[in-house]
Amino acid sequence: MQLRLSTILFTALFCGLLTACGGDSTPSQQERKTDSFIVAVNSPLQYFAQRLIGHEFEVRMLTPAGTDPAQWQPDIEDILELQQAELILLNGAGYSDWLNKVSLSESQLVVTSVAANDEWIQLEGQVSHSHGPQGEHAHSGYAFTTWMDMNLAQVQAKAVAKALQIQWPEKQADIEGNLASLLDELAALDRGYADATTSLTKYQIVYSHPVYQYFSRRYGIPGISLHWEPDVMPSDEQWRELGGIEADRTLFIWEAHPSSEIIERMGEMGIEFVVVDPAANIEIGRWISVQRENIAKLAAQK
Amino acid sequence: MRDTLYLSLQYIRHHRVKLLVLTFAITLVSWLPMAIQSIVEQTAVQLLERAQKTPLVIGSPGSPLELSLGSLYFNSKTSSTLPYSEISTLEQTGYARAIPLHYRFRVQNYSVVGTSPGYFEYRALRLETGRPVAILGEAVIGAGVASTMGLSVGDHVITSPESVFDLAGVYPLKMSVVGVLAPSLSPDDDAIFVDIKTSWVIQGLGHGHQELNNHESLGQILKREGDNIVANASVRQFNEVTRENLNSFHFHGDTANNPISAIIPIPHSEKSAALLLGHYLEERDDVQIVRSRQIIADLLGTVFTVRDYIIVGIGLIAVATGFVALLVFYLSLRLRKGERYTLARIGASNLQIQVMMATEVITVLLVSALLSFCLTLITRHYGITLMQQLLLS
Amino acid sequence: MALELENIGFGYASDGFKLSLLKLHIQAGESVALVGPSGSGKTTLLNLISGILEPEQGSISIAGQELTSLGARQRRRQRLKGMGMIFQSFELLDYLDVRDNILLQARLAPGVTVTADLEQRALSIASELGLEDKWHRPITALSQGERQRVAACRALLLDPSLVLADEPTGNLDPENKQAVLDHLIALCARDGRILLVVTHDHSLLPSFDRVIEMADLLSSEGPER
Repeated sequence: MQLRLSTILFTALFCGLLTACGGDSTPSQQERKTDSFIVAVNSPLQYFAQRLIGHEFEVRMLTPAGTDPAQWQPDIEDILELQQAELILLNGAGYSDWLNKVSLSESQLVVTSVAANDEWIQLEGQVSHSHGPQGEHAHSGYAFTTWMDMNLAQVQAKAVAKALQIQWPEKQADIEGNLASLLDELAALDRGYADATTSLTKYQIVYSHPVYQYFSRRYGIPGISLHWEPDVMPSDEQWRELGGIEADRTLFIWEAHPSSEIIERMGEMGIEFVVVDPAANIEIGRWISVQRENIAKLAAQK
Repeated sequence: MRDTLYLSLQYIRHHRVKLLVLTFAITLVSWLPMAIQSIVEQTAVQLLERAQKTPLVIGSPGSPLELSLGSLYFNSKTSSTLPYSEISTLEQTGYARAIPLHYRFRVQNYSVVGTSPGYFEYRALRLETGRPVAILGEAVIGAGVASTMGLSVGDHVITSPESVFDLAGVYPLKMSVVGVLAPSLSPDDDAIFVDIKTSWVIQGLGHGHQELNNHESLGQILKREGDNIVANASVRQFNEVTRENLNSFHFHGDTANNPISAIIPIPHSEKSAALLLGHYLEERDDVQIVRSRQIIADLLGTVFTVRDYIIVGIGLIAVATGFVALLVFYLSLRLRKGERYTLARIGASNLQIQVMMATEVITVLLVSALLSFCLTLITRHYGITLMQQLLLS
Repeated sequence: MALELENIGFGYASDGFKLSLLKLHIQAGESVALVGPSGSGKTTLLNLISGILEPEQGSISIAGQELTSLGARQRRRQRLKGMGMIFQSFELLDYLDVRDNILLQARLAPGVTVTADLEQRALSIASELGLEDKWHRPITALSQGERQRVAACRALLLDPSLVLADEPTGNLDPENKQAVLDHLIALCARDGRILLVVTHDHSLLPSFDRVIEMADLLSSEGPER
């Protein structure tokens, strides 16, 4: 009898601890007290917002699972849903190129990285065009995975907090408290990434896609960007391109785990790889753990 | 008495032209003052109500009256604008939300109002059919537009060119109607609402065109300079936004510099409103903020003065008309002296004779009163629209 | 149904005219012409008989009904329902058509309703006087003779026992005056009405049953002014 009682108590305590940890769980409908909701354009912003506002409000991401939010184009139903949101958390740096084509109120929009827009990385090799009497108008863009620089991620988190406090001034104190713990968390991740990447300077870094610009800049690991999909066998030309990179050691950084065929071929070429997931579109509860996994994998490359 | 009235009716039928003219004159002079008073009063109430609901308006420096009339009624003769960046500037003060307005363009006689979704909530406008504007090139039309132009969801409207020779600037844009508003008995009934960015497309500040970075466009490419493609002016620009070409639409430069006609600030509180007013009056001389209620009240003051003069004038005419009518009735009675003699000799009673004589006068006065009353009712219903159009033009 | 006048005395206060009549008796169905010089009181006599004027003394009775004992209102009603009046200037209303002019007296008479039967009677009388194709014509479109026939129809519509006519042919041309008078006399004789006609036209006198000189009716004092 006593043993069973202690087991029950321990289980209850364990469950209680799990529930109390980090707010990784999605708020339930029972806890939500209002129909107001917030929309975030990617997982990091969704995570930040939910951490900051708590369970009273739902933070939605409209991009379907498996779709890159940067490539996502909202359909009419999505736009009508966006119009109903209290706030729309935008990444900035041209992340959501559909913005100029849809009808939304300015007061809804929060461009979370605009405070650091002088740190946006301008992309080279973008095709611009000019025609007619107006002359040149370029469509040069910016790299937009700003959150992969954990310093910029903190800027974005602060912008989210400020917007939430303006919208719900009665929750100002709670948001302030939540922001402090979130910033601590992001700062810890920043230190983690910095430590994990110090030893990577011995590698020639190759990135599977040009989405690591801010990561590369922040943590001092410049690299060559290709356009390789983890589940699509590259062409012979692409393999030749990879093979043509002169380096003692090459580390290929993937967004997702590559296929076994690719791994095998890389192995034959003596190219090492590691997965650093940008986590642009994942379950909200996994965002922090993915960052920690990224750090662990990078650290293991020493 | 029925037979006596029958005889009276025959008299009226025989002299209908004379009596109609008299009735018309008396109706006119009795209805006009009431009509003018009614129209002006109701117009004033409506104008003031609209202004009351829009206490503050922000625009570029210039005529406060033009700014008020433009932002409240989408009817402005000036083309002065302010940059879209003023929206975020205003919101960053923390005093108010901001709703942009752009009302330069028209579809026939109707204003194309570029705005944001917040406008509809602000004006408590609801949709009768369809849905709100979601993307570029879509429009939601007022109930009056739908009724007059016979439009419904799925139809299209085309913006009117500003001038026949405006070849290189504003060009007609074909927009799809996605929603029709329920009647609101306001200027919103006669407007076509689009997203503010659609207004910029109409203005030529944004466009969509064929892809240049493919072999099909080789004929349009003049040269390549590094990463820049220089094309000639034959590049086909789309005059309609569709789901297929939506992604090709883009804007030149920073949209923060694009023009808007006015801003409706929605202060968070009365205190915020006061602070906002003070901020713009004292710290900004590159924009103006007006209290639209005061402007409209001043306009109406002038209208009331004119109304009073008109009513006095009509009053004098009415007195003159009354005297003329009296003279006509008197002369008529004199002419009917022989008739009265005949009736008396035949054996008609004094009452019968008096009824026959009086019916003419009573009929004219009664019909005039009835017509005047009916016209006043009609005026109350339709006259306001007419008056507002007159005022705003 | 005789008309009886006896010892009638009447005077106009305005001009001092006085009329004194001894006796007058006219039988039912009899047509009588009353002649005399202007100012002899012929029209006054008609007005006294019709009740428009009230004698200061004497009696007037029709079919035994003493008119002089009636008040003004009753005399008026008697005139409407029991007498027909025809005037020199026709006295028609120009805003009524033939039909409504004939029905005029009926519309004014208390207790009389213009029914389909009455209208049919009116049309019948109009037909006898040759007016059936003018039924809905405006009065202004009729000739003088036709208008006087309309007046005659109006006078006869309510089947009066007495028809009084003051110079009924005075405004008619020679062709029409005889015809109108003959029609009137024939209709009255047929229906047994008393017809008393004041006339200056001696050419018409042979048509009457009797001709009375005004002077024969007056008292030895005669009319005075």
